[in-house]
Amino acid sequence: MTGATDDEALIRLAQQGDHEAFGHLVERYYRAAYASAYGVLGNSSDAEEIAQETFVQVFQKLDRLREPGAFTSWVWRIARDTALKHIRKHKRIRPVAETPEVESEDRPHTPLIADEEKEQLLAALGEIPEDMREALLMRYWEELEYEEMANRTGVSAAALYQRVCRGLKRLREIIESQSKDAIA
Amino acid sequence: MNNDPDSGFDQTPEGRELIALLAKHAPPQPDSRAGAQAVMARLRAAETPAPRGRLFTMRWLVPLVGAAAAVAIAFVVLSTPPNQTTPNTPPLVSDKDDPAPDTDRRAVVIRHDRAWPEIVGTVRNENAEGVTIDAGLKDGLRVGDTLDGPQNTRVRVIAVGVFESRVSVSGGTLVPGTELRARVTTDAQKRAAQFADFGGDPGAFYQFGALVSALPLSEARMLGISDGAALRVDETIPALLKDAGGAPQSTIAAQLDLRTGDVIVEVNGTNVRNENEFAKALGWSLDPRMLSIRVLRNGKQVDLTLR
Repeated sequence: MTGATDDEALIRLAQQGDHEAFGHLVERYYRAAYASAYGVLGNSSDAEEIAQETFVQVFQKLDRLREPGAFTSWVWRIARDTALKHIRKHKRIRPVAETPEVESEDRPHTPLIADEEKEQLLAALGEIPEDMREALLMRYWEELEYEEMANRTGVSAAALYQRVCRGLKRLREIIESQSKDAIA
Repeated sequence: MNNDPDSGFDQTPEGRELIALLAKHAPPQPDSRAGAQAVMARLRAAETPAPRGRLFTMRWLVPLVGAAAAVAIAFVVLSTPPNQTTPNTPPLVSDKDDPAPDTDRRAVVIRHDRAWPEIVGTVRNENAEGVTIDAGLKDGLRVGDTLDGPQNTRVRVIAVGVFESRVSVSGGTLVPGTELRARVTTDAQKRAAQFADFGGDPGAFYQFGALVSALPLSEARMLGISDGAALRVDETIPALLKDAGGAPQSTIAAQLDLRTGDVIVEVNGTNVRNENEFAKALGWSLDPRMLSIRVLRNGKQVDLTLR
């Protein structure tokens, strides 16, 4: 069972300095921190680095967490902020390509189009409100069911479903407006 | 019954197309166990004690520096003429050169404290509405704050969102990617630090338009709330930039006429003790017209609704 109560017990133990409990929490939420960082960086190796850095920070600040129920949102936010700082530190807006720009005979332009599409998606994800982005990435990148998302966040499954629908709609509006700007 | 017009969008062709796009660009799944092991290894490395010789040196160094500082302070105090009053030290950098009417005008003594985060924003884009930067309420920025760019350029926040702000630019032009740093704004830095320390989801509170904190039990009892279940409204956000290309929108808190200093005793008929209970009682996805908040304002009970 990986319910909220279980998490709360692990968080309490970790706050008392229990490394084993913290290790379980990291394993459980590593994908969440990674997905949040990937949403900013678009690069899996950097996202892994940021996910690890996130949990080092989480451990250092754990005694400040007043509401164990807010742990997930807190991890998501730290991961995102750390990723944004990483971009600023390295003076770059966003890495364009995950795949090397090698053109094959079979599909000469596919990687470039895919990269542009990915760039556009990540930029749009960066524009939508945080609660919607979190819900979308949990649902479609972490592939969690609504009940699992509800257990993790303490928000009802119905409310999370609405966030996902609103997030999708908002995402579509932003991508459409990006496309119009690009044509103009 | 669900009245949300967006409900079911995931089943529409457009929604399904976006879901496919998200799935297509989903990141490769990481090895969570290996990641956790790497994190624990980093934590263990950070906890490894420093070599004995270095610790030994530090043990003597700290009291020595402390003693030297104490002597220096004593010298300054003793050498000050008895009738001369020490003037207030002027701030090293002005907090706000021309504060907007809606900003806090209290005099602020600037202190440089490393615990407060530096506020850095990057120019995101420019459109007909103005220039957008990627720093907002969560970074401690409010309308009227200023940030400095390269070559004497300066921006002033004219509308603020949770994650971004719209600014007016003076002293030159700015291109996307330009880095801006806040002029030292102690209040803004404090707000950013509070955001970072917040246990709940302050982004949601900003969207609602108010920041709240639990009322101390002693104060609650003075107001006749024996169980202490009440929240104080610490700050209200009148309008929020929700779309980089759009106009700032009045927040729900502003529409309700929730005010700083109000004491919230009930949300939709439920007592609330902390930020999390407040968030749950609000139910962010519900129709705001169904929301009712009971507050104590100047000792009187006031019911706030949009109906």
